[in-house]
Amino acid sequence: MSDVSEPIGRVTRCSTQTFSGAVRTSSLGLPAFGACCQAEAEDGRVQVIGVIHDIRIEDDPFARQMATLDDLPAEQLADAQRNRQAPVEFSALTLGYLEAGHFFSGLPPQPPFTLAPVYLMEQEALLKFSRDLSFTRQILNAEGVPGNELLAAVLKHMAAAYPAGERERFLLQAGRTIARFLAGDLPRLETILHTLQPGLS
Amino acid sequence: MSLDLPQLLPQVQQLSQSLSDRQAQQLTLLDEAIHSYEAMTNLPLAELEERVSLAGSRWAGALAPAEGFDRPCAPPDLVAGLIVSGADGSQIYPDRHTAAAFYLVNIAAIRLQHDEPVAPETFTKTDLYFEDEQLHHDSGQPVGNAWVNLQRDVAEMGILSEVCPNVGDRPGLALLDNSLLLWMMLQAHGAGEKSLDRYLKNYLDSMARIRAAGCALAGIIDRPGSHNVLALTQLAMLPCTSLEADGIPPVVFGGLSDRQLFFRLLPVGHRSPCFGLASPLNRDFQAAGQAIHFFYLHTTQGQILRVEVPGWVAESEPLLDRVHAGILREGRTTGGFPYALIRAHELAVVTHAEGRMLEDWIARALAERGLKPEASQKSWTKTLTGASGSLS
Repeated sequence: MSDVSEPIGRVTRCSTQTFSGAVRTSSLGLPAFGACCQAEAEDGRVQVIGVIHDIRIEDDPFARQMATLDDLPAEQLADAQRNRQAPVEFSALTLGYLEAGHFFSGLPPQPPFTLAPVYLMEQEALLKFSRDLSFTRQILNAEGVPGNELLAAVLKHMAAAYPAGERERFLLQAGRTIARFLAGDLPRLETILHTLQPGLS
Repeated sequence: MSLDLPQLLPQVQQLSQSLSDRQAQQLTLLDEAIHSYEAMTNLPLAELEERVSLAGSRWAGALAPAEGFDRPCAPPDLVAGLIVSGADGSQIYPDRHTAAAFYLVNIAAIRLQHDEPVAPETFTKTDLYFEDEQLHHDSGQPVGNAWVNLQRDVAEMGILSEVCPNVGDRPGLALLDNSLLLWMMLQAHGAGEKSLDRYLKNYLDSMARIRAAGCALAGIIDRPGSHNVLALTQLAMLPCTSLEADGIPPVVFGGLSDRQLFFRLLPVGHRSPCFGLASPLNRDFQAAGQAIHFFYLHTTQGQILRVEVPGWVAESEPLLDRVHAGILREGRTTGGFPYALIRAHELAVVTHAEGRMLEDWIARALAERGLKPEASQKSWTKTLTGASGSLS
């Protein structure tokens, strides 16, 4: 798993339901789609938990001009990719929060602070948060996110935090939970379970 | 919108008509200038030098090129593994309408290795000036924009001298987006001679460090407007007797620039001969072994750059070739202007938004200490009328 002791970025804008952050690319690499992250709120009493659903790198006229060249010199390519790249922006869907040592699914009382550091969730925290699978309904109902793919990605990410012998059990349990929520939408259920399938084999 | 369009539009039409008329005249003049330049290149160098000598201390144009006019100036081979450093600077000028008196100089540099997939190193130096002795000359006069520009130009050469030496045994090229002559010294009115001398010494010391590091050094001027070579061309047309009797007449190729001349004369990728420069300011540089020379370069994208180099580059064929080939390589992907300088500018530039942000920080810092930050009445009313983002 990624090094979670270093922040992946800082919050740039936020609401109760989502928060976004910016990060310069580094040796840590880009944060992954479906990874769970957390940022502090309420003077540090609460950690807001989110799942990364969008990673964006904006271009600019200079980058577009360079992109059209057939033989871009190696040093200019490296400069564009590592120095010059505008901050990578990621967006996270709020799933829950940690308060007084307890994890809760659902929307937090307040969003994170502006410029609060955003960390990937540690393995132990992922295991505890994933015990309550009601966050899956939030992802299924969220607007403006690729819900099916996001749900499959976050579940696979969480499964990887479990010991090898327990991953399949976790995914099966998650599948049953999703089946209850999507009882009236079997095509969507089938799509999600199909995407989860490689995680089960 | 405050521009009066009925007043302005006819003037815009007059502008375009005037430019059109001027262009037609210049085409005729340019043919004459080319003919005269070619005649000059056939003069013995000694004869050309004699004319310059007769013009005496009044002469401020180009000097005859030591390499002569015969040496081919086609694009040389690029030396392998070139390390290019570029520097640029930006500033916030002093403004008596802000809450606190200050000015800022922001310098940036980039160092990249040709053909290596290694991210270039970048360097930034930001200095805020706010002490009384920084805001006023010894005479008590407040410092003006020209003084800030002078500090910026000296700091650019300074950071270049710090960045470029770490090239190991690989050939280095240091570039500035500027003339190498410190022209701002001539405009920094109110500054005492001691202060000016100190800045000039710092600048020349930086150039000496770059030389000691084995780097070539060049200043790049895009879209140059000078006519030093045209002036020399005219001088070459005059009989020596008239020079002695009547002095130096105004340039007859009025309105033309060297850029136009060499755009017609130079094939793409070629450079002009490297001329000396008889500027009074260059005498200080010459005394320090840094006399500035220049040539024009037709870049691969059809632009003419004026490239200034110190004498120790002009007199060294390998260094001069390194400058020539290095600039062409740097401009290959960017329309002709060196990539290192484009990036140095991008790293250095201070935007209006950043300037306003700095003013906010200062106001907040003052308030935390119980000081009441107040902009001037004029500044405050501009925020009401929306004119605070104006060009003046």
